[in-house]
Amino acid sequence: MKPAPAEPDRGRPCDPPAIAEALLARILPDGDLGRTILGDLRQELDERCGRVGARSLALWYWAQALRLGGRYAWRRLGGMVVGSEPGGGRGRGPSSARLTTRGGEVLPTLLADARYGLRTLARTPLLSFFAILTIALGVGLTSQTFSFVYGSVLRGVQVPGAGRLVVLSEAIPARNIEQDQLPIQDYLDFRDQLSSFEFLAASTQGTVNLAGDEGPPERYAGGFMSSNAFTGLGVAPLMGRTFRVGEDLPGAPPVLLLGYDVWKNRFAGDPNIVGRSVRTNGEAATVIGVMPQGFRFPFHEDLWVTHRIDKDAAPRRSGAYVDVFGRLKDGVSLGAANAEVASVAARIAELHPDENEGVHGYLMPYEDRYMPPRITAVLFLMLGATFGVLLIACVNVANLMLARAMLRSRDVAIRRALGASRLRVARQLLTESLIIGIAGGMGGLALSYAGIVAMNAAILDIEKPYWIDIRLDGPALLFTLAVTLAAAVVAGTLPAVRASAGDSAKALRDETRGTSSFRLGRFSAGLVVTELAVSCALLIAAGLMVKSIVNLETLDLGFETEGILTARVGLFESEYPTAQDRHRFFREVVGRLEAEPGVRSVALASALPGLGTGRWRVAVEGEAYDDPADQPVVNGTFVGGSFFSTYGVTVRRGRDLTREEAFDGTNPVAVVNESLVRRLFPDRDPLGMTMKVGAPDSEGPWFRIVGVVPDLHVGGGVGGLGSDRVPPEGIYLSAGSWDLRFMSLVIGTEGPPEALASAVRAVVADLDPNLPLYDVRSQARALEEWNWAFGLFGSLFSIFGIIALLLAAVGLYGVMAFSVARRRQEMGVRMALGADGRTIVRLVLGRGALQLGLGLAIGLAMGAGMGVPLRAVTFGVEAWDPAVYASVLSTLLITGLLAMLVPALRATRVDPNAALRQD
Amino acid sequence: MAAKSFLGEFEQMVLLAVLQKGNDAYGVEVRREIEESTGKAVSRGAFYTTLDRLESKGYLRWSTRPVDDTWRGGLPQRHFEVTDTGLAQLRRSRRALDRLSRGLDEILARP
Repeated sequence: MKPAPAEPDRGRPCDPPAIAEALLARILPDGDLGRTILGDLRQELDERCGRVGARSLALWYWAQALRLGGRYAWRRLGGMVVGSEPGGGRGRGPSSARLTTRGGEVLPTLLADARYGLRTLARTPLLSFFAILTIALGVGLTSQTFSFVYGSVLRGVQVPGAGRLVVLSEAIPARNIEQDQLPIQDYLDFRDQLSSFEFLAASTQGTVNLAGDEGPPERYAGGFMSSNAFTGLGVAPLMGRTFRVGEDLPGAPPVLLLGYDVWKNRFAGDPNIVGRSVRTNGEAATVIGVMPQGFRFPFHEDLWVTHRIDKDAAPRRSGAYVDVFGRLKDGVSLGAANAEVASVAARIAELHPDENEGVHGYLMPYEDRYMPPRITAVLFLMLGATFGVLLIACVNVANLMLARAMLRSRDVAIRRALGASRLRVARQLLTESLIIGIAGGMGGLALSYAGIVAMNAAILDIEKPYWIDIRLDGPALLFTLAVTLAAAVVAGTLPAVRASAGDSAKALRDETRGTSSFRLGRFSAGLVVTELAVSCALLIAAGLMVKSIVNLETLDLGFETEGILTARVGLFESEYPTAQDRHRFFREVVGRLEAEPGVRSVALASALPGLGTGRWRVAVEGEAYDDPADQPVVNGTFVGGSFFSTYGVTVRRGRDLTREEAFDGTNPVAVVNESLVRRLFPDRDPLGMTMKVGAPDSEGPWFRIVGVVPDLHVGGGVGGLGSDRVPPEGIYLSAGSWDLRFMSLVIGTEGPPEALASAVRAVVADLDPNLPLYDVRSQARALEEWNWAFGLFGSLFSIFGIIALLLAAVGLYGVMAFSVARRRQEMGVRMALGADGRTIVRLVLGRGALQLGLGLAIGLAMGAGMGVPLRAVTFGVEAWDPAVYASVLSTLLITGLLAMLVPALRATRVDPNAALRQD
Repeated sequence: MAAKSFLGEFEQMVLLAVLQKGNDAYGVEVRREIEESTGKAVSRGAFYTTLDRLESKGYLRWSTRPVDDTWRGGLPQRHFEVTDTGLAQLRRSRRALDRLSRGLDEILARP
C-alpha cells in the first residue's frame, strides 16, 4: 500500500531548487537507486511544503542535498581504493565498488595517494610544518619579486601598440654628450621628415598651478604636450576631446585636459566640466576633456596642457628643448627606424652646420628611458636571487623527503616485493611532495601578498612612471602556480626516483644490518654544496647592499640636516612678469619668514644639498676654450640669504654671501668648494677670480669668487642611485644675479622643523593666495625620500640573504645530522674497536669540510659575478669589497661548522653496545 | 563471513524498522520509524549508506514501485524487505543479547 500522499497544494512552489536537485542527481548512484533517493527527498519536501515559507524550504533542500551529496561524493571518489592501495586500510563497503564505474582509475588512486600522503604528513607534523614553511618562504619571495619585476618592467606602459613606442634622443659622440631632449626645431624637422613613424610627438613635464573657486590653489604635475600626442597615442578621453592641431602653437588659446583624479578630487567629478574656464598657470584655460582613470602619460602627469613653444623665439640649441616620443609603423624594426633617424639627423646637420654638426639621433624603447636597463638588470638579478632561495628551499625539502623515504625504505621494499610497480611507489612519494608544495604555495601566496602590500607602502611617495603597478594579478598568480608546481616536482622527483629504485630484496636485508644500500652520500653532498653556494652568493649581494646603506648613513654630508625645514615655490610669468617682480617676491618672503618666531635663519636655493644639482659647463676668466667640450662641468646651485650658516657650513676662506646678494643682481658673486679650487685653481688664489655659466662669450654675468667652502654631498639621480659617482666640484652663485622662477625656501628652525610648516604656508598664502607651496618637509626627510632606492634594494636583498642563510643552516644541519644518524652503527663499531671521540669528530668533519669548501668556492664566484651589475644600486662599495667577502665567508664557515659539529659530537656519545644491538 | 560478524546497532535498527513497516517499508517511512522510536534524528547519509551496505551483505533487498507523476516528482520509491539471511542475523544478534542479559533483569528493567 502506498501511503497516502500528503495533499500537495497545487500551484504552491513545492518543487525543489532545480540546481540542487540536478547536482545531487549527478552525484548519487545511477539508475533507480539514485532516483528513489531523490524521490524520497521530494516526498519529504512536499510534506513540509504547506508548513514553511518557500525560502526556508529551498534552504532545507540545499542543506539535505549538500550533506547527502557530500557523503556520496566521498564514496564515489574513494571507491576504487578498496584493498588495492595504501589508502584501502579503512573498511569500505563492497557496494562502493559499484560506484566507481564512472570515475575511472586515475582519480581514485590519486586521491588514495593524497589521503595516504596527508596521513603520513600528519604523522610527522613538525617535519611537515617545516617543509611547508620552507616552500612557502621560497615561493613567497619568488612570487613577490616576480610581481615587482612584472609590475615595473614587464607589463609596461598600457597604450595601444606600446611595443612600438620609442623615444628619440640626441647624442654628440665627439663630445661625449648624450641628451634626452631635443631642441624644438630638431623635433619639428624629425617630425616632418621621418616616414617610419605613425606619429612623432613632443612633451615636457612641468608644474601646472590651478587656482579658482573650486578649491585652494594647488600645484600639479603637468604634461606640456604637442597637439598630436594624444591622437597619435590613440587613447580616447573619458569625456570631451583631446588636443587639436594648432593648439600647441604660440598664441593659441590655452586649453586644459584633466586627469581622472584631478577631475574627481578637485572638481568633484563635475559632469559638466568640459567647457569650463579654469585658471591655469595664471591664465584662463578652457577644460576640453577628461582622460580615463589610470592614464598619466608620459610619466606621472596629473593633467595636460599644450606646450605652445615658439620655435623662432630663440636659435636652435639655445631655446626650448622637448622630450620626443612616437610609435613606429607596424612592421618597421627599431634598426630600420634608427637608420632613417640617422639619415635625417645628417640632413639637419647639413642644413644647420653651426648648431647640429656632429649631432646624432637615436631611438630606444619607450620604457627604457624611465627604467634604465642597468636598473632593469638589477631587478632581474633580484628575481634570480629569489630563485636561488627557492632552490635552497627545494633542496631542503628534497632532503627531508629523502630522509623520510629512507626511514620507510623497508616499507617501500615490501610494497615493491608485493608487486607494486616502481612508478606506483614513486607516484606516492611525489604526491606527498605535491601536497607539501601546494600547502607551501598557498602560504607563499599569502607571504607574497603581504610583501607586496609592504613594498607598495614603501614606494608610495616615490615619483615613478605611472605604469608601474605592483600587484598579484593574473600573470603573477600564474607564475606563482608554475613556481609552486616546479618546486614540488624538484623537491619530490629526486627522492621519489631514488627511493623507489633499488633492489627490494637487498633493502629488506639491509635494514636488519643497519648499513644502507640507500646511497645517500653523493646526493646529499650535492645538496650541501648547492645550498652553500647559493646562500653564499646571496649573502654577498646582501652584504654589498647593507654596506652601501651603512656608507650612506655614516657619510659625512658636509652640512647639517637637523632643524631645517624646506619648501618649494614656483612663480609664473603671468603673475610675476619680470625678473624684478620675482626678486621682489623672494625678498618679501624671506623677510617675512625671518620675522616668524622659532626661525633661526632663512635661505633660498635652486636645489637642496644632497638632492642633486644642475651640471653646468662653466668658464674661468682668462681661459680660452677651443671647443665647448673642453670647458669644465661642475655642480651649480643658486643660493641666497643665510644659505651656508643655515646648513651649518663654515666658510673656510673669504666670506659668505651677503643677504642683499640674494635679491640684488648688481654684484654677481660666487662661493666655490674645495674640490673646485683643487681642480681649477691648483696654483692660484681663487678669491677675486671670476667665472661664468656657459661659454665665455655667452650672455650672462661673470661671477666673482668671494669665498671657499668645504664640499657638500651632492646626491645622485633617481632614488639617489649613483650619488657616489658624481664629481664633487661645486659652485654656489648669488641668486640675485640670475632670473629664477623656482626656488626652495630653506628655514633654519629652533625646534622641530615640521612644527613650523603651517606658519610657513600661512606666510606664503598671505603674500599670494594663489601660489601653491609644495614639498614642504624637513631636510632630513627630503634626503631620506631622495635616497629611497638604497633602502628598497637594500632591504630586499637583506631579506633574501637572511632567509637563504636560515634555510641553508637548517638544511645543512638536517643533512649532516641525518647522515651521522645513518652511520650510528658504524660509529659504534669504530668506538668498540677503540676509536676515541676526536677520531669520530674528525671523521664526520672531514667529509663535511670538503663540501663546505667546494660550496663556498662556487658561491664566491657567483657572488663576484653578481657584484658587478649590483654596482648600479650600491653606494661607495666596490664589487669586490673585502670586508663583505670576509664577513660572509666567516658567517657561512661558522654556520657550516656548527651544523656539522653538533651531529658529530652527538655521534661520539653513541653507546657502542646499543648501536650494535640496534635492529 | 556473514555469520562471523554481528550486526551493528544501527544496522539492527534499520532491519527492525523495515520489519515493523512491513508493506509500508519505503525509505521515508523506515527512516521516520527509527526516528520516532529512538527519539533521535537519523542522518540521511548514514541511513542510505547503511541500506546499501545491508543490501550488499545480502540482509536486505529492495524493489522499486512506480508512483504517479504528481507525487514525488514522478520519481519511483523503493520498497524494502528483510531477506532470510537478514532475519537469521537478527535472530543471532537477539540470541546473543538475550544470553548476555540473563539474570540481569533487575538491573536492566530499571527505568
